[in-house]
Amino acid sequence: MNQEIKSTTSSETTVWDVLHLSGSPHIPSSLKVPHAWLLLGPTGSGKRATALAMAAAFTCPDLPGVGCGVCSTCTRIISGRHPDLHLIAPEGQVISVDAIRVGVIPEAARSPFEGRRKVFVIEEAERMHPSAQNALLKTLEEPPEGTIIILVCDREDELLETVSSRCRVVHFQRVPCEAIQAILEAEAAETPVARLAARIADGDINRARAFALEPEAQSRHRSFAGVPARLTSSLEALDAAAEIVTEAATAVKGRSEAQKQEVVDLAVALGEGRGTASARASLAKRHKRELRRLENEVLNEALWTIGSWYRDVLAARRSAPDAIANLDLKADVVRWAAASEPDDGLLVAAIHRCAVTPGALARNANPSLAIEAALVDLARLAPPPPESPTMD
Amino acid sequence: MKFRCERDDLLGAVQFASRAISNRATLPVLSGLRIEANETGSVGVAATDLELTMQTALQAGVDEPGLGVVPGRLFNEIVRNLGSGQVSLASGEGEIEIASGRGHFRVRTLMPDDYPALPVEEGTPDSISVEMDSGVLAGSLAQVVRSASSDESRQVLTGVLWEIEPGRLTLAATDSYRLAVSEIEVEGGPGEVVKVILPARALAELGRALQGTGGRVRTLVRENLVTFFLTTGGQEGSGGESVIASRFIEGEFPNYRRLLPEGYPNALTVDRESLLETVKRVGLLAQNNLPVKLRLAGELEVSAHTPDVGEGQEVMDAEYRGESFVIAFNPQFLHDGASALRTKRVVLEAGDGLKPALLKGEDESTFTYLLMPVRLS
Amino acid sequence: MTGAPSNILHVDMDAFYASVEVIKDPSLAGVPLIVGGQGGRGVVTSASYEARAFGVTSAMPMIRARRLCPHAVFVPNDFSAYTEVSAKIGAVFNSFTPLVEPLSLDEAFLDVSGSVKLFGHAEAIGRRIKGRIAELGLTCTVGVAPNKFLAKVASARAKPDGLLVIRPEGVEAFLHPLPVTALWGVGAQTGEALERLGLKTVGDLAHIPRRTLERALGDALGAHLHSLAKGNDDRPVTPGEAAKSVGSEETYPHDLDDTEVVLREILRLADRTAGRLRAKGLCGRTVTLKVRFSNFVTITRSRTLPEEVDATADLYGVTRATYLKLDPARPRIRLLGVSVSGLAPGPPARQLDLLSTTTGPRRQEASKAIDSIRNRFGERALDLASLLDPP
Repeated sequence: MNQEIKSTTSSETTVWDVLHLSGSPHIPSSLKVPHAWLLLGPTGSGKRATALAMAAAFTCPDLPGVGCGVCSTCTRIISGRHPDLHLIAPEGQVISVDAIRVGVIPEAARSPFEGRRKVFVIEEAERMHPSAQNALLKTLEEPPEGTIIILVCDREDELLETVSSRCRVVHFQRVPCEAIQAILEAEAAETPVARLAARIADGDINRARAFALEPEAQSRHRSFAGVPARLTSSLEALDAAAEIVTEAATAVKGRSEAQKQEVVDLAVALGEGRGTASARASLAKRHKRELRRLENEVLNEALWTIGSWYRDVLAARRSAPDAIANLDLKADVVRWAAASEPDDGLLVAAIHRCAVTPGALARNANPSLAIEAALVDLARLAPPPPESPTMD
Repeated sequence: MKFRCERDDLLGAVQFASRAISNRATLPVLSGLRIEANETGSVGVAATDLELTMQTALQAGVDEPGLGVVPGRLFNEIVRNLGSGQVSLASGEGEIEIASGRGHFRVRTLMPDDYPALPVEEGTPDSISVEMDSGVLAGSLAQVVRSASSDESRQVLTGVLWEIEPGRLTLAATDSYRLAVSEIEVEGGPGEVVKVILPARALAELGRALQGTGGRVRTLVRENLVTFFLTTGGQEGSGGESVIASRFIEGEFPNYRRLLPEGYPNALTVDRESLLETVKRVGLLAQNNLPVKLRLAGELEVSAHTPDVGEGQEVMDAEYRGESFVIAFNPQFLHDGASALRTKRVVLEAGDGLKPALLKGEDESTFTYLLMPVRLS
Repeated sequence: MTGAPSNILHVDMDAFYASVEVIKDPSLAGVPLIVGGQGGRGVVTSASYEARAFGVTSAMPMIRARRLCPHAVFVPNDFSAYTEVSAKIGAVFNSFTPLVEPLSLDEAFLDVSGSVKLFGHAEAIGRRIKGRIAELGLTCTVGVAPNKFLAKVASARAKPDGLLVIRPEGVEAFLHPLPVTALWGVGAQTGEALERLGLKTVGDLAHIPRRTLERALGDALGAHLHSLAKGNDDRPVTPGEAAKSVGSEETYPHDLDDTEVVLREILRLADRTAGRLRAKGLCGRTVTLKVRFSNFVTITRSRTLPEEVDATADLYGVTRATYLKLDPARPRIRLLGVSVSGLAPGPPARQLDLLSTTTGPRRQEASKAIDSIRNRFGERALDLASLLDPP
């Protein structure tokens, strides 16, 4: 994580503890703080949690500049339900210019509702359409009084230079394995699960959390990690691809059940009548896009897991068994490593193939075709060795 | 929370606050009404869409003070359809019970912890306070609010400028095609001029709430918002003041005084009602945003032409000083200006067909309407 | 197979812009001549046959053309001259039949079914048109066939300065030996897909059952190609379209699948359409977006505005919103078009602005300035900022 924002002095509990960001921040309490921040680093390195903690620090009336983490302001900020906190996230693949025009510009032009500041957190800021970034520029340049904008971003290169150059940049690193394990244990995961989750997540706290806390994620992981052993022919690859796509569809179905509850809740709150249709429509639209994204996330998870298998085999072949991530499958990895062809180049190519496919998915490629193509290639590049174990 | 009250009092309060109920999907709790029963025997009913906050109070027999957030629309409907007489409310775990006569309702409630802190308490000593007649303020708002812009890309213009100085309040709004400026007398005021911009949408609601109340309004300008305290003239049985609060729009309002021309050579004086009727009639043939043309002379000739539809023309009596020429306006903008005036006759002052024209009441100076013409193709 | 008589003509001018340049400056006759935007990002709009011998083709980046044929004469576009000559050509067409459907400045379909009694059979009309156009100092190629599709294929096979007649009984013999890429709608991608199936010629395609083709290529494309391979096309010649609307459309060599790219192309087309409107002294109220997907499903969406417009920003604003409302989940777009109808003489009446910044007369002045720069330096000389591809 990051040295600029956190330090380790306070003994009081703060919002940084509540969000497992540990330590208290160096956020100045005066209004002279930078008004535009760019939190930059890999997925799951704690950027979003830090952005929320900062928002709490900026607005908390009890512990200004730090955030107490327990007052009404802090708790509502942490749950994303505070009128002076504006969370902007992609709807589907992009943050459109309208999301900025409607969600940011008029709100930034208003005085805060409760406190003295209003905070805009733009998640996955790299998904802002260039026109959205341009629309944001003026607000970034001359923010109305009391406005703080925090951009949360995985890849800086998608941001216009004019945007990033106006922000104080804070770099995040992958979260160390031990830190992830500690966080998961604090969130009530069993030690062995937390340990395995931390290993396979490769510094991504979100992925680790999903694995440790959701049984579906664990079962998906087992099934995805078993894919390489099945890739004995193109035909097998097509079968495996179909199963992965089905897994994604199952996850989507689960989420859409959860969405139904949200629709019911909204209906209770709104009641029937004039003017409620647009709120319903907006929720339906968000749901549809959420599902599209979730599908991609599961497919990416599959590719990541399959890639991690080849990485593990490579580690085993290079006599670095400690680097093996899939601890639960270590014996199988070692057996494969011993029996497979001596050409590590093919393994590297297979890892690469897994790494580039998410990019194609992000560019709206047909998911079935993209996964099929990837697995057919993998079957050619790194088929299981003849005497490799069969997975259940 | 547990209290008893008169259905009519409850309905009045619920209908007042319901105007600020919001349909945002992002913060669903805002579609609720916040009801708070106090030990003092007063029950506050409030709602906010964050732009506009409306709160009022009623007298009740409070058995158990407390707080609840009820689904706004449904609650409003239930109370509206109850018979007159006593109503009792009691909140339980995640629901509220409404009893009236032999009727009995149980409704799921929303999370009170999610409800934003309402900006309705008294100001600090350095807050600025002025007081005025609510009817006068309502009239002034009606004159200017319509001229504010709906173009979200120029936020400042979506608001109305309030210039407060000792004894005087000036309201100004422009959508960059027309400018409306209205002045009223007030009691109190700061030592030097204070300027704030308030969202036109919130002010339109304020104007509606003020209509026919006949009391006074106390306006309090605080760090991040303006609060209006309404003393409703003579509504006995209600628990006290109603409060409306609005956030500011931050930014610099255009220097509108610079836009006001000084002394045009051409001035036309016409009967206001006749002008309104003529513009409305002839304007029927100015479709698709086409203008009405005014030939300024000893008589006023108003004409319009829409290709493939037809044309209209009408001549009005007028008094005119200056050279004869043609100037064209958006008929709606012209109509808005004339209808905001209150004198029997109105004066149109113009430079030429491309300069802004000034519309004001005859021998009256509290309201000024500046209107940009349409350049003809 | 079609039984209709061969009464449809496709007339296509040979190297039109280049030939007009030769009329303007006869000393350019016989030399390699390349017309197009001269800026760093310019493209070739027309090349004389002398230049084509060096491999220069239209739509090629100007930089490449300069490399292929460095000794050629390079001339910027002069659309007003082309429009003027195009009007004369149109007058020639109209003297033979009222059923003229212009496709662009330099090509048109003619239906002469009603004219054969007056002027002789279709082939004779084709020859007379060629003669009349030669009087203007230009050459053209004429395809004569039973329908638009075949007429267009015929003229393409007869270039330059040719005339090719396809009679109903000769359709098969003409069509079947042609490569599949000669069919409308078969680009490089589909061509490859067909080749993988062992289908190289139109004849190969015609002998495959329609169902098989639909299974292999998808229903829409399969049915479309099957019908074309049989020589069928029932689109009528619709005259006068060009006069009622002004627009611009583009078919893309690769399907567009990125919303951002699609919007940028829409902006480009809106800008081009706005320029054409102003060049003709027109404005219009109905703005239409046309989208053809890779499966040949084509949709058009029109919106009529409260007032006439002639500015890029207005056209883009409407077409962009229209496209975003379509919101295709995974767009694969083959063709985009922006057009304006409901035309009136411009410029539109304009509400003036008290605070005058971006709207009103200033924006019109800006549009005018852009037009004059483009007239002098070519269409790509002054692109809107977001049209410029990221480096």
